Amino acid sequence: MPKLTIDGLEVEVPEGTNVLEAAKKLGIIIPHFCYHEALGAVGACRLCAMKFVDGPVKGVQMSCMVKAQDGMVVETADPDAMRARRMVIEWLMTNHPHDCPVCDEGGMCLLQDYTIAGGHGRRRYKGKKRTYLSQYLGEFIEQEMNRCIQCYRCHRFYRDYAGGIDFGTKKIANQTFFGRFKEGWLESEFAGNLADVCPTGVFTDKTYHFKARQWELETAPSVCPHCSLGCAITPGAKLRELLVLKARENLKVNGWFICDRGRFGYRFASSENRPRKFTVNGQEKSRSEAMDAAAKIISETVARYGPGSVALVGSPRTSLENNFALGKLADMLRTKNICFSAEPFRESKERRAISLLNAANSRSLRDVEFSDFILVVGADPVNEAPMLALMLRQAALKGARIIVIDPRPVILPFNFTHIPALPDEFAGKLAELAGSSTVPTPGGRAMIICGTDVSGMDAIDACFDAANRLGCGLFYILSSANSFGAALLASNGPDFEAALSGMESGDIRVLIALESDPLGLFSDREMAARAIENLDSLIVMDYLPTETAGAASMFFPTAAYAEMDGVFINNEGRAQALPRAYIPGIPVNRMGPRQNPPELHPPREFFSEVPGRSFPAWEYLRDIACGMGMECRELESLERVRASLTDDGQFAQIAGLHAESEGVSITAGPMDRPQAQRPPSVGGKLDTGEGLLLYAVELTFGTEEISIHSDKTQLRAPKPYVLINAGDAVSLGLKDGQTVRVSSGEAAFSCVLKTSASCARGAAFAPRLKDFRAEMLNRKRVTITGERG
Amino acid sequence: MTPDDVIKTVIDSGLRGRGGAGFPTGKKWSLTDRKTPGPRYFLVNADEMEPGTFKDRFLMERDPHQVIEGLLISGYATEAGKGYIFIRYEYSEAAQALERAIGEAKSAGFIGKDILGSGFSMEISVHRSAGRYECGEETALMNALEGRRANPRSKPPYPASKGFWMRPTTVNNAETVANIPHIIKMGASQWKSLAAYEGGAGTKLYGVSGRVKNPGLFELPTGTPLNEIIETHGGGMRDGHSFKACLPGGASTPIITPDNMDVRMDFDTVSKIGSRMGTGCVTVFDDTCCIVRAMINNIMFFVRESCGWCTPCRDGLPFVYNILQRIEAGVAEMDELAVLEENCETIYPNSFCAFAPGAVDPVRSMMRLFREEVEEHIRLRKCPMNPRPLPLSHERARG
Amino acid sequence: MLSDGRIKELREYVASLEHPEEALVDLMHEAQEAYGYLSDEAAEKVAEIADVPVIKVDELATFYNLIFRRPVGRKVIFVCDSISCWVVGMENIFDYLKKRLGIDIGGTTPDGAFTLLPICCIGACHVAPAMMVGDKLYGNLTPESIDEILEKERN
Repeated sequence: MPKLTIDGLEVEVPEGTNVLEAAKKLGIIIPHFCYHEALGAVGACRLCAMKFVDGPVKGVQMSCMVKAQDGMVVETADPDAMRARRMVIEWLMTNHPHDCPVCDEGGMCLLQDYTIAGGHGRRRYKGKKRTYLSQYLGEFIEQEMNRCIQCYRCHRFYRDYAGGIDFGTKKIANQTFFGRFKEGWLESEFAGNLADVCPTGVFTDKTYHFKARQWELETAPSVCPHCSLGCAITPGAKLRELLVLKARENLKVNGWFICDRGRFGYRFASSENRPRKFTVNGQEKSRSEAMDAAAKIISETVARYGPGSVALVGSPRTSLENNFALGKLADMLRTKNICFSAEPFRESKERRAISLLNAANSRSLRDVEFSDFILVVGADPVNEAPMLALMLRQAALKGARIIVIDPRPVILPFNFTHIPALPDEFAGKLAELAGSSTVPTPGGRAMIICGTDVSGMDAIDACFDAANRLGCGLFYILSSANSFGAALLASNGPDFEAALSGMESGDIRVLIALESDPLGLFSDREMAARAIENLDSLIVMDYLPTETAGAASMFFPTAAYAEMDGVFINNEGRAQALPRAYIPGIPVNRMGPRQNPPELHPPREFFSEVPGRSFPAWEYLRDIACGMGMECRELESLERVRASLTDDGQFAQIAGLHAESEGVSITAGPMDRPQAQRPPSVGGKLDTGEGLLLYAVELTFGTEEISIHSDKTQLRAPKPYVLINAGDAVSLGLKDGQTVRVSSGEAAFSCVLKTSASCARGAAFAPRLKDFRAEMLNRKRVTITGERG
Repeated sequence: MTPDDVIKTVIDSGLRGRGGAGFPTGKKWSLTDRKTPGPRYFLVNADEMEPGTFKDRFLMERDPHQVIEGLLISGYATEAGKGYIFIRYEYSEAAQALERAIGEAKSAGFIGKDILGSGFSMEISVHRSAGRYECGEETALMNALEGRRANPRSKPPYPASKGFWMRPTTVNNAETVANIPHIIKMGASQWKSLAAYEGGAGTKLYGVSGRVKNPGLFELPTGTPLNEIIETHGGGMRDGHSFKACLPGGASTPIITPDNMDVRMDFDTVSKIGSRMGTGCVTVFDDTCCIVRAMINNIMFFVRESCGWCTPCRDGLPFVYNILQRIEAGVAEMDELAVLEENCETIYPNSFCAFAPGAVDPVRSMMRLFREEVEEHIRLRKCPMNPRPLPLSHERARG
Repeated sequence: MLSDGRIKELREYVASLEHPEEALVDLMHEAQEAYGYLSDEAAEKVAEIADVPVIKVDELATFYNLIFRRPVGRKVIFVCDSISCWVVGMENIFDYLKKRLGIDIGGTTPDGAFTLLPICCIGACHVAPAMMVGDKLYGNLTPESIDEILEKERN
């Protein structure tokens, strides 16, 4: 560990640290543009000049390019170094427009900060400013090239870090341009990070355009709700409207970046379609009226049919506290009909997966980057957990060998080996690989990553066994941000299919759905619809306009993730706290009289309460319990909920969990093996007929439960399609791009056919797009026939 | 001779790089990593684009075999199995001559596998670039050859260990390489003694251009005095013109005024008087030349050719260019001279590669040697010599 | 346009290289020759032949000054505007050419014969002022010799 002196202060830093970072460690921040912790030092901006007065290096040097060495004596306030920094800023400002008042970056602009810090104040350059024609880059990212200071961060992120191939550096000298070959949407699923890495306003978040200044935003450190990885984010809201998301640093999870689904999926929160009213039988009610009505119907039902007549379903996308409160209510009602997912097939695998993780074998997302051998089984990273693909790329760049066993035509931004096997073959392939010389030195830095969507239960077990045998790490991809927490609460309890049969038989009369959408998620929609129709009352609490919400007899609007305090547990068992960033309600800019467009004039109505306010679901659950006259002190406040949660040994570590920490690890411990693997089909019988086996699959955009309610991310959702192997298409006499009919015995749909040479034969893949019920045919034998388009 | 013998001979000969920097060639070779098992590369820099320089063109058009023979020996010494001649696209005649010569050498068995039974194998190919000055920087040249944008690379790693395709690589100028066969043939000491003075080494291609009677290229003993090159070989000034100043070796070398005309043209001596020998191709300014306007032309070249990688070069040089234009146009104020100097002095030590220092060096020398003429522009509010108006453009149309 | 046969040849050539990227500049030159300039279509062809993303081709094409991403005349007149030519009157040469061709720097004559561009030192300082028409070098330029050259090169 080299020891050096900077501005008279001694500092010891790890070998390989550059002097700029060493100074940062002392709290001395020297302006820099091209250097970025994730992207490295390239010495292009020439801003971080320091004077090296003694030691192995002498003179004014760019501190990012010099590795700290013993005996270095560095002055940051040396006149030569300061002049260099001031001049670099002056040069950059010769072309930078003075458009800060209309620039979205204003107020959070590194160039603004460093212009002040660098000491440049008066313009001496008398020439004209260089101008560019900017490009249209889609609806996520806005480009204004005139503001560019050529730090090359965008190129280095997009091409080098993220592996994008449709963006680069064009022209030379002070005409250097960053953009695409031709105008059009940036193709990378990580393009949104350009808004974060750009130190000024060249690349900005288009969805946030002209909406707010940084200092007006209500923010809190938070965790992304759009997949199970739990990436760190900072949501920003103004006047009850969620307006922007930025990546936050968590060096154990996402590093510095997030994916575009995470960044732009936030718009469900302030969507006009978001349900904000308490309703009872279609009538708008006050909160207390609604709670009373719910308490009444539950009391009556329990009195008439017994406690077992009430069922409760929680959700892998709501907080641990909400689910826990639901469990408490079930306890109070003495009903055993409680589960935490409306997708029993997926959930059974998730419960199994989390029970197999322990302190020794579990690996974090960031650990992926430092692994040297990675086996990915039954997973399509870009589509199921996008940031995993970015981490895998970092590992690949560091020389890791990566093998993917998956039937889909998996595309990743780096070179890897793809074994297109069907899920039934996973375990066999895994055993084959683990026993072969392909895995030369298994051990601590090797990893097995296993998906839980297309994989069967046997693959989940096989991955665990292989990891055990090889002594390497294990990483399961789950479905939602709090799948781990929900599965943990579900433990060995019943699943939603049990509830459904109760509903169909008439034993269950009331269903309480907590941020859960059985109609939208349960594979057999007809069965779910029949069951729900049979109910006396369907009580739905949600912040999304789901199908189930549409069928509710009572609806209570809930607070979403940035609107309440809560804890999510990510796929590896990392519990992370999400404090409330803002109070939810109808955004101010959507208030006011109709004749007076709100965007032109602020509302002139005044309310003593937040209009359209939603509350965390646990409050409603408490109110119902209290309304039924039950002892509900445990649910009195969030602190109480958490206290009784952490009384349970499993969650003890959550006590005192800090929002800006890296999170704490939770392990499930052994659970009973959930009921045997079974398909989601009615009657539990696997189709074995002729035809292709169809898998319903996830996509980066268009299938994830929350972001499908966000207008901008939906722009990137494809039209419905079914994908099959090109060879299979030939034998079926079908062509890529033609309209086909996909049918099994019970259901059918029409869509466009896509073909691929790299997916497994004998299988078909249909994305779970909104209003395209691919799930109906999941794991069924289908026939695909041409249809006149 | 073993590769070590060849390197020793070249070190003893005192040959220094003829691209302009004057780095001892033998020493460069000795630094090449010859321990790591192959492949290794030898690259000949024939991307001659230094304004005022036309020596490599002559050499390759008139005697391409000298370059190829030199490259083969250089490749042998550095144990490189593959050689590239990186030539600018405009030199189509030279490229054709080289291709022809390579064909001849191949059929004579001088290129290819196990050359003349020596056990040494080498392939040579000619790469025709597409035009950028920065390609002449050795690491940028490697990037260009790899099909990347020709931005310079940071060092370390040095090309000697990780260069072209991250393999050990040696890069030399075409003229440097052309000296090698003569050194080997004559022996180090005899070749060395060809110089014009004790301590000099060999001969050098010197050129003269500008308003002289006999502009051209001359092979002369290294260290031939500047006035001898201009007067004796260049024929002196054309009638009606007198000598004002000169750039001794290209657009990036500081100006030399009449008081230093007797300077010996070799790397060390020219450095001692505050200039650099550079490529040894002298551009003469006569009495009709406005020095400010000359520097505008000079800096415009660098503004246009900057690769755009680092700030001092990309955005600092246009600042310098703008102030010079304002001076020439008669709109500058006296205090802008301090801004000009501050720009030059800050660009000089803080850029990524040697491009920007070379760009401002002549301007710095102008401020040292011609301050009176510069100030006269500002006092008169016009150019004292050139009545032709100068458009105040931000930059010239580019190709 | 590149013929299908030639594209096939080029593909085979590229495939034979240890580092196919080394061929990019050559491919751009050839495509430019075939298309007149490196049009979007030509750039896409190059990318396809070399099996690289087209942005890589664009990055290189716009880096170099002898690859044209916009249409140019049948012949490009490159007038050396560097120091040795400037010393002996390059500015006048440019003026004369502009007047004779009726175009500004960067322009193309209405008949599509010539595009006028500056170029940095072409290593013909001994015959300055100099220019190139296409790949042909002309030195010691005077208004009279320019007239002759234009006449000859136009056909």
